[in-house]
Amino acid sequence: MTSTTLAPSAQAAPAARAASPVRTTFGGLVRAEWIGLTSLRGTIASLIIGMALVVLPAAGIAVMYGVQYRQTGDETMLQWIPSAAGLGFGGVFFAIAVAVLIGTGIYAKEHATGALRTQLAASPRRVSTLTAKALVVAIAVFCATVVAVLLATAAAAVVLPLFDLPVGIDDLAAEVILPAVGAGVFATSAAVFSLGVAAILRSETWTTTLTIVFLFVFPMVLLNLPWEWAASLSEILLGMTGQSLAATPLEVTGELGIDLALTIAWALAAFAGGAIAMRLRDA
Amino acid sequence: MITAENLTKRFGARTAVDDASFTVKPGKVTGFLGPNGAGKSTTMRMIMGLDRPTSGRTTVNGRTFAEHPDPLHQAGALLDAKAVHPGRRAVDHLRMLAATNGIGRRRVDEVIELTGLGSVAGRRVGGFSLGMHQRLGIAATMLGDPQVLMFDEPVNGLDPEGVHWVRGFAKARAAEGRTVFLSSHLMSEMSQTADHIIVLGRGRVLADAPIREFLRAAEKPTTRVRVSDATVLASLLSADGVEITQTGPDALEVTGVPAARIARVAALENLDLHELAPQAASLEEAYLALTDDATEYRSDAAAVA
Repeated sequence: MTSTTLAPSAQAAPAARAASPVRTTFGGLVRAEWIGLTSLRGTIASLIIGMALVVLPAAGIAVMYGVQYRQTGDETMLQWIPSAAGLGFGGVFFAIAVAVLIGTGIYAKEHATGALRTQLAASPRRVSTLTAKALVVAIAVFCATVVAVLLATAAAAVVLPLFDLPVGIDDLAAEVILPAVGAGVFATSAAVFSLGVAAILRSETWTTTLTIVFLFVFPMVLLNLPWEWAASLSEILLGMTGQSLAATPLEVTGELGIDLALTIAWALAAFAGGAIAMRLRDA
Repeated sequence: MITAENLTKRFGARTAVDDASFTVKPGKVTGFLGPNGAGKSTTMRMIMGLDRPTSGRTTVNGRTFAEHPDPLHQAGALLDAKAVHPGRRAVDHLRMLAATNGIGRRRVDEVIELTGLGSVAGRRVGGFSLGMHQRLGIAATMLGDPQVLMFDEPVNGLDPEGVHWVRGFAKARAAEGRTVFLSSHLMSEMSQTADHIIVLGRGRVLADAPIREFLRAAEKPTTRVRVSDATVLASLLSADGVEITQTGPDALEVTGVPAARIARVAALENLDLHELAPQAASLEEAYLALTDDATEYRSDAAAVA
């Protein structure tokens, strides 16, 4: 440890303290969370890897179809090859998985390292802090997911014509724009859901495991049970409602509105649970 | 100023803090002493709003900490130097904390300079030594230029130079008129840093006094004596409230009689005094006497003998 000479106070004298501009605001908390999120290489790497896992398979599969079509000249392929949008949205699962990791990490990792306690000792408004975390993770995940699926669709749309295959997109809004927004909403809800669960469980491993099981495994299990109620229940779970928002083409119907409401409600419910737990428990 | 009023914290059946009341005043370094498990850290966490009291309340500058619109300007606390995300750079950790209170980058740079972290500010915290962690934690406490500073075991694990630095830092901040509250289980440390001490044992306040007063209250005048006839002197000094231990053929330890009186008695009996050495009670001894019954985790005396 090197020694440092302490300047005899460059600090404000107690008498001059009233003029301090220091204030805790929600905007400040959001800014702090943004710095927190973007200052971790692991988080940035997760976002980039997640985007790559959406984009690269779309481009890769388009190339595979193209090569196969060129080698075989099989015209029947034109009937079953997915459109560029279909290929672009094939990797949404990876975006959701990354969203869960980021939503979990922004709370559980900070809690496990003690950084959250340090933060709460600087700004003790817990629900505001959790809300700021949710907002920042929502913005980051939504933007990354929308960009990823648009890039994936664009990549497929560039590759397919190189092999004389059709792009297959007739209605840009219904087949690309709306599903991209829907995928963004799904990923955002998954991230906020996992953030809320992390605030309840305070464990990165448990939160990630249980959220992934809840999103992807539980609905499938229910669907395969021989009871009607099980299938009905699976339809209202976040994993199913979210997937229906990212379907292409996406038709604007009342059912879509219900799926949208349920997707957001799941995130809000988990967030509320996390906020209550954070408010009531010792940090 | 920090106040605790009838503060109690229970974790299940265990009472960590038991009806503790005290005031930590500005302009001095107040040491918060107690054996491991005495409830010091829990008390500090309650002051900062991290733990909720089972009953009672704490205030920082007249309000509970969470009620302040400018928390970092009111109090800065270093409760756990390692409580930082290891993957974050030191400067980003400070920027993040500063942003929560609307504090700008310039102040971040100032506290980095103040704590001598300039050369490592761009490094990730995971590679920091304990001393650097402590400095980073102290830098964070100074972000809002607060009136109250609170450090939990700030010298634990530091090398002598680091200890000296923390000591100087605490004293300098108190000299500026700030309230400085620091915990330790090391009496020797407190004797060199604190002006006032609050001793906690099993969650209860055992003492709350200026250090000198604390020492005086605990002090029993003990004098080491070497004399030509120890047995005769011992018999002459024997009285109620006087403890005499013969430590050698010509040596005694006398407690409860001032050294001047021992000298007078020896002179009247024509005994030759070879040594007459009053022993000042150390803070360590006074503290051990005070907390003897309040120590939660005690080493086995036989094992260390």
